[in-house]
Amino acid sequence: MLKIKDLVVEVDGKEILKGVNLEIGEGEVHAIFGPNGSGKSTLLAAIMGLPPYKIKKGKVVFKGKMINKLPIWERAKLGIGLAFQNPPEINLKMKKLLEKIGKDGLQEYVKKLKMEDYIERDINRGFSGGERKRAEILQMAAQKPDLLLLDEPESGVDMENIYIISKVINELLEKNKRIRERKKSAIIITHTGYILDFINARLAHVMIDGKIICSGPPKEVLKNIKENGYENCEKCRWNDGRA
Amino acid sequence: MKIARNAGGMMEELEKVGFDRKMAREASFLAEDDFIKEIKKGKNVEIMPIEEAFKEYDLPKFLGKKDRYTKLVYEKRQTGYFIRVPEGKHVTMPVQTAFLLKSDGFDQILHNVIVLEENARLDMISGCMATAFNGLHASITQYYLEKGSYLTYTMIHNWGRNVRVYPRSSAYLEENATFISNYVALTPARKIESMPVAILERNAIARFYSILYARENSNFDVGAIAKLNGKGARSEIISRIIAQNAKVVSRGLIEGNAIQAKGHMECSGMVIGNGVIHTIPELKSSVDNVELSHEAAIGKLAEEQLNYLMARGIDEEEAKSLLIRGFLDVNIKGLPPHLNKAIARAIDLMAMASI
Repeated sequence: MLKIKDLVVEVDGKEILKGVNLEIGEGEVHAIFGPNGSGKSTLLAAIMGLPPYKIKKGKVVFKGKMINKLPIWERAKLGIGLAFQNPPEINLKMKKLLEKIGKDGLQEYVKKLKMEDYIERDINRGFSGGERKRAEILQMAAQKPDLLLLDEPESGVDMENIYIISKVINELLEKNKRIRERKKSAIIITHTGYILDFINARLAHVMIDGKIICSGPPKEVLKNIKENGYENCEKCRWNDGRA
Repeated sequence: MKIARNAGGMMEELEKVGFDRKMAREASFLAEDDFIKEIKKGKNVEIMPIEEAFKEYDLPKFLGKKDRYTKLVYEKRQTGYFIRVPEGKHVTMPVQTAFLLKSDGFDQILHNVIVLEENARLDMISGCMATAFNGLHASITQYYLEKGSYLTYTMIHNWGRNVRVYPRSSAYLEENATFISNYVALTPARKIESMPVAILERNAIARFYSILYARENSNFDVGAIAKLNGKGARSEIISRIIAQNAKVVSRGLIEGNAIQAKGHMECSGMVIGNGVIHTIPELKSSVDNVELSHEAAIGKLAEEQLNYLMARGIDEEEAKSLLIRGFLDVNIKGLPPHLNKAIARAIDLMAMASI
């Protein structure tokens, strides 16, 4: 589904990603851990094509197609969807946007995400943290991407909302189907790992200072981080030395 | 370029500015150039050509500043309407009026008077448009709102690149009267200059909303003046303005001349391309115990918002037009929902069609 090779990304001349390699197969969910400022969000922005991030080196290949230079909307049309960590407020009714994104069967998700009252309002205007996250996931439900990029879907969200959001994410990832039949993939950035109690990830990666330094089973990698801190990740037994 | 339109096409054009034969209306008035094409009388309002009204009534005086255009109207008035709502009458369906400037190079000169007697209520939708290549529209419109009356007046303009427009209006609000004036101009005009003035007595309320999209070298100079002369009078002047390769001067003056008067002015502007927006808000207080405020913000299309929409698979042009659409979309307080819808429709048809 997605292949990232030796990706170097900079902002205003400063290198943020310093050679990232990542491969995500069809139906796979990967988690990315890492301290603040390590480049996790930049990686998602680079996949989506959001400025001001500039790809200096390397390749982003999606469904066999190199997308380094594609405009944002074409990447979205190809099947990449990004749930923003801090989505902007916009003078535009949520409903109007959903109509534009337009896929069928959205009403059911509006209900599941308890967004009935919010779709009549301007996008994110006056929304609480949890409401914003639900609004992002609702837009993902409208978009139905093949690769779901989730940037800290649980930050600033209470347990009830994490549960609601996770349930819908699992549906979007076809978790009701058998593993082999699943076609949808995801990258989840998470600080706390709470979300992984609800969404099964196949693999977790730790990103430090613009590089993925280790990859392994999510629960064990997380346990190791919690016990020993990020500074000891390099010594972690899952560190295969790829970085 | 002048485009000949058939009758059906003309009705569609009129619908854009709110003159819609398919909608429920109390009464209608339609003028082309200098003659009245249609008057449909209503049960609950009196409506007649202004000429007749001058003979029948002692009409109130114009309260705005006199200038060459008011002089032109006094000397060379061609037509116009007089509308009166009798005391206590609440008119549920709107009265619609429209002025069409049809002949190239024509100078259209009009005078309108609207009187609401005590505790009467009326919604008006008033369209002005041109199919002429060039021309002039000059007018005086007077609103006289007696005690406790309530008028909403929604004006939608659709001029042409070479048309010059000079409406002059004044409103007098007796105690407890309410005036909601909405001005929507979304298509180019060489010059629009409009600055209605409202004089408010005790506890009267005047709210002015402007939704303006100036393009293609248009030059708009618009605003409103509210004189809060009675205790507890209140006014709001609110505008949303886009200037795209065009110039807009947005003015406002609120005078607090009596205690407990309250006024607020708000202008949000967006500049696209080589646009210019110049806001000139003025507050004047001549007594103590008044509350006057203004805020203004001018920005550009926010890149972050544009990227957000594009990340949903919407291409750049469409994302821009969605943001423009959203920026102009103001839900006006106190306006019946179907008239808010008429404004939304005007935005869809006129602001969006040409992006």
